[in-house]
Amino acid sequence: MLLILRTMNDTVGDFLYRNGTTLFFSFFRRQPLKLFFSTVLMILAAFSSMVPAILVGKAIDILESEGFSQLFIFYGIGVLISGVFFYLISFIGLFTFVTLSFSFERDIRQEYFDTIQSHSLTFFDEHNSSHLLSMGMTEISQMRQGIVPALRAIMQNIFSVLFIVAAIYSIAGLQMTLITLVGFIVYYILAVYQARRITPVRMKLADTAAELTEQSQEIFRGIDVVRSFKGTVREILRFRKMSKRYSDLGIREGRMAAFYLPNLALLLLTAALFAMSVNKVTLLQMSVGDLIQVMGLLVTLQLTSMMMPQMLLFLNAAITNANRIWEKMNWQDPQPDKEITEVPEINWKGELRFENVTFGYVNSKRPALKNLSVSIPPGSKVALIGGPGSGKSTFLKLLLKLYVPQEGRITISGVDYEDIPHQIIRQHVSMVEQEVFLFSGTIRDNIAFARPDATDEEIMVAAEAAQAMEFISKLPKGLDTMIGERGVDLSGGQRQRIAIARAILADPDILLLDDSASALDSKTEELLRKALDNLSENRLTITVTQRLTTLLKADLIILLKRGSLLAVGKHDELLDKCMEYRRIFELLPESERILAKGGIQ
Amino acid sequence: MSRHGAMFADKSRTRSSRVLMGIFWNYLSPYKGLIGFVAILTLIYTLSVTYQPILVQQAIDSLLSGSTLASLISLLIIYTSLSIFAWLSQSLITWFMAKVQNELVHSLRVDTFEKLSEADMAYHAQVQSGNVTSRVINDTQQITSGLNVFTTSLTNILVAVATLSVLFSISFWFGLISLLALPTAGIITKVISSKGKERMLNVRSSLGRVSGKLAENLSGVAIAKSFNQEDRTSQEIKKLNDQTFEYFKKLGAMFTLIFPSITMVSMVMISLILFTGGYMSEQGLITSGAIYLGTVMVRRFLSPILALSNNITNLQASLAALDRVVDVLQTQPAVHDAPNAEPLFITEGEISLENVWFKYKVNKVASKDKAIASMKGKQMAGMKGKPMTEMKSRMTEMKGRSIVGTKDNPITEMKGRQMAKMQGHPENGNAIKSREDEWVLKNVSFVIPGGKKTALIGHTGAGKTTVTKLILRFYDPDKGSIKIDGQDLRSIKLASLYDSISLVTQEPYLFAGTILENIKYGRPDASDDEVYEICRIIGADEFIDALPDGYQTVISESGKSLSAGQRQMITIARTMLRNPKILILDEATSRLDAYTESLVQIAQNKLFEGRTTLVIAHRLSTIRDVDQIVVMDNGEVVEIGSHEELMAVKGKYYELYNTYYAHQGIELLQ
Repeated sequence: MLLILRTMNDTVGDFLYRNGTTLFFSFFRRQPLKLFFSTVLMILAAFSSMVPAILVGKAIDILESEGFSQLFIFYGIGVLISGVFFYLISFIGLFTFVTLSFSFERDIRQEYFDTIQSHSLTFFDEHNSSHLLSMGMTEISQMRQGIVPALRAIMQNIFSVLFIVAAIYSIAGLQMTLITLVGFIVYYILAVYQARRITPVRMKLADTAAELTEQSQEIFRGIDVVRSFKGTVREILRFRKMSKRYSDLGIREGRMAAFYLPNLALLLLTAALFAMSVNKVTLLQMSVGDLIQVMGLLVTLQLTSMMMPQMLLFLNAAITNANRIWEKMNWQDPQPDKEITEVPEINWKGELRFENVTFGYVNSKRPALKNLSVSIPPGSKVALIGGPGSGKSTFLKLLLKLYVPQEGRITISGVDYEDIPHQIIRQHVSMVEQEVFLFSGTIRDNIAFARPDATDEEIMVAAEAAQAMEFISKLPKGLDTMIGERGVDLSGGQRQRIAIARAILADPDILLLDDSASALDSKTEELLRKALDNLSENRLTITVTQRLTTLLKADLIILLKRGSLLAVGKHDELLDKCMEYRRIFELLPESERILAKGGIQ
Repeated sequence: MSRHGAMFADKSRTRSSRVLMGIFWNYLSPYKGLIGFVAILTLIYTLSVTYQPILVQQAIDSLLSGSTLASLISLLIIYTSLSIFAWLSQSLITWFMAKVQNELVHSLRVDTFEKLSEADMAYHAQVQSGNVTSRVINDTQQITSGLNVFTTSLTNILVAVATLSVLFSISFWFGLISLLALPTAGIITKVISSKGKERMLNVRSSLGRVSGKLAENLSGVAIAKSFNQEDRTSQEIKKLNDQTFEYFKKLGAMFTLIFPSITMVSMVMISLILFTGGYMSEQGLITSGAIYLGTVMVRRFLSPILALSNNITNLQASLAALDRVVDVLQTQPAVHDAPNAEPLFITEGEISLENVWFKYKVNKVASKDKAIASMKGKQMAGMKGKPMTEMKSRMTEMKGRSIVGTKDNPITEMKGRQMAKMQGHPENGNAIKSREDEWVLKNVSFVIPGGKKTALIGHTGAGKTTVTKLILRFYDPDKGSIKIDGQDLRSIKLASLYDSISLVTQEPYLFAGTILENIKYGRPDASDDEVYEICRIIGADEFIDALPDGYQTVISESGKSLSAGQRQMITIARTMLRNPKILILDEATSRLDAYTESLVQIAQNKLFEGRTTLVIAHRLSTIRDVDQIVVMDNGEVVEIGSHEELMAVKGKYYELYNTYYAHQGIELLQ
């Protein structure tokens, strides 16, 4: 019970975000002390990087008046010291800030995963999983790049500018200060405007690149189909068109980046200040050393401003990405779970009922299940049959409360499913799916997935019952053999038996089996049949199947068609009273033996 | 060029830098004029930015000697014009290079794609689609970014040379001091980056693990939910995420050193110039303006040189990418039209295999690709990354810019792999390696009569699928021949072969696009009504109608929202609509439930009446009424005949047939 409460309390991380921008700037709220510390160091670094320019100017004035004097040497040493000072300050400040940005990236990634994992399956039906992945990896990395290098560089640039404005005021007076100030304001306005203009093109460029890659990958994955259906030329033309579109967009973006006006503004500002300084020197209002200071400061600033256009684009991209990510995190379930305050007592060994259940997937044309009513007595072995699209898998998913019916209700021992938290339901109901999903890791991890605390003996018993021990013991490391990405390849039948062992170990009261297809050879099929028999012992079992033996042994057969209940009953009854069932049964390839004279073993 | 050759030597390449540059120059030839113009602009830019500080120096010196404003007016005008020149020339360079670069990558990309889409099936069987795509997208991009690096390097060299000559022209000592800065800065970056390299790889592989886990947990979200294990998957991510953070911190400690170190070096240089200049000025050897010029120039000298050393690594990566792409561009497919190939002319549709011997061979280009992929895989565990260039580039490079999402697509790859595992096809992927040098088909001879239905059966690995691949001429036999109506496959035009023959495989493959487009893939001109009719006959309309947009429903992620059976129904409808003269069904209905399979078979019998059909099926009960059964075992044909004949022989077929029923749990009729 503790576990359940913890999971339910797991909401959107530690912060609540109003929008993507708040999400991005939550960076500032995370570790304020460290941030303050590194910002102070950043200001000091900005200051010390400007010092040499000033000292050089002063030194030259001294050189002109006093020659190679002690004071001159003092200024020279000052430059040296400010270099060392800058090195220390800048390293510590930078490192602190960079570490903050990495922990930001880590935290956002975790919050992102935890939040979307807590969304219902409807979310995952609506979203392309490779997009969700690239958001979690690339786009969150880009959010971090919005902090380091972008935000950091922009902050340092602003500090430098403020420092320069102050220095010019003390050297050259109000008039030149005002011009400098106006120059920088124009510079920033132009830079921000330019970044705003390019950002959407860049985003589109990135999307087009992703599309182009997807297109190419898709063709090569299905190259045999493309070739044997004579699609090669068509695909080449299609790719060429897409590639051209990408290239045109790239040219457009490249040309927008050319003729970068902020740089011109900065260059002209330098020229203007140069001319004004020269004028002041001739009017004896300024010394030549002062002129050298002004020019030195501006040259330093030009060097640090070189990356500004890029940095502003990073920042814009980061905020756009933050908004995309926030949208996914803030997804609203069209059919939210009912809030449950009190968990009722439930007898899981009781009767299971569907009462006028209707359910349709989001955007679906017709409901997957329509006004379905059926009651399943305790402990029954149920066979669920029907064609593709008849609603079989939906039936199973509703029983796991992966989805909630829009009308009607499902009850267990009379308790409405709506009143039971899904965590509790999933402790008592397990499914073996048709297309088995195994996690990378050892076979042991996979079998013990539902119960990480299971003992070796329990795992072996489950694997034995699932007829899986036979092949597991032949593997080099037995239960500890790695499967998945960098492990051994398992066949379809082997994967299915591991999934069965996983379900046996979970020991559910209600077992759901999706066993509708069989791409297996007959030997594997036999093993699987035995495993399924073991699994369904002593519990209510609902199997989607067309395995003859399962149909014959079933206590109850439920026949679905287009989401509606067509017939329900035992095999013999249905064979007599339901034409549709008889037709299906006769079409099953092995049925003639049963109908003739053979039987089940 | 030979000096460059040594500079860019790289063991992983098969061609010399000179050869590669030559090939590259061919691609550049349409832009020769533009590139010449850009070179002139680069020169203008370099001269402008170098001359500006000299003007400031002149101004300082004239001011010190008491010049008036009027005498300096022309100097100020020149200074301002040079600002504008520099800005204009740089803008024009960007403007023109945008065109050259993007058009160049486009033509490389399209050529590579075209070549690869016509490459041997042997290549595609061995290289994952993700890696093939990486040739098409990432490598071509890398080559072009090499061009960019090359032009910037050129500018850097020009600026550095100009700056250094100014420094030397002021004073020999100034020049010498600046040269001293080089080894110092070089050693610092070298030390940092050689240590950083390892840390960078740690970060990459750690991020790769996060990405892999994230991909897996996103795919397995339903299972995690079903077993109440969301906490656990979250913890798994957290563990990897924390680890990555630690690696990032270690890397961060390294590369945050670079910028402060270099700045410190340049400040030390400034003070050295100041001391030397002051001392020389005392001797009357140098003016104050010259000292100022020295302090400005020494700072400007360092950055292009540092950028240059980083660019060399980058250029190497581009040359390696070019080498891989040239591999692709210069490979002739082994299976191609003979010079005197004629169109296939079908009368009966009889296919005969005559003494066919065949084994899978490792494809040369493919094995190279695989070596690269596995190397990368070790380093970064599934994350496609660029080769290690400079450490700073990771921070500054705008990843989203050119290749977002192209870098890694573990999800699709993973899915592909899982599917490949599920079908357990012996002819797939890794299996090839173990079966190298082993005959897969040994002297196989049999005739598939025209217009009749033939079934091919046998245990997994008997060579059934290989037979279908040879008939489709995805490979050529090593010995013996395959003929359709007496015409050897090697003497006919490939295109005409695919006009008459269709294959449905066990693994249903759908394209992105609507269901309607997918069904029409082999016959884009078919009417919608024809599609509806076929779907109705095979019973596919029931599930298609239930989809959000019916036939217009867009398939995403290879049909993730559809079940395997539903996907297979669509591929069957696709082939039925095409209605070829020869049909090959390789476990084509294995993913359908038994009832639907029966419906499909009834429809097939009707639609494909009189077509030559070759069927491979596990479910033996479904092939009883074919005209001929060919039993294969271990690469050889062991029995041929009808069901009744083979049952009477009581050989291999009899055995297979009976164990099949025994395994179904159904008693035998003795």
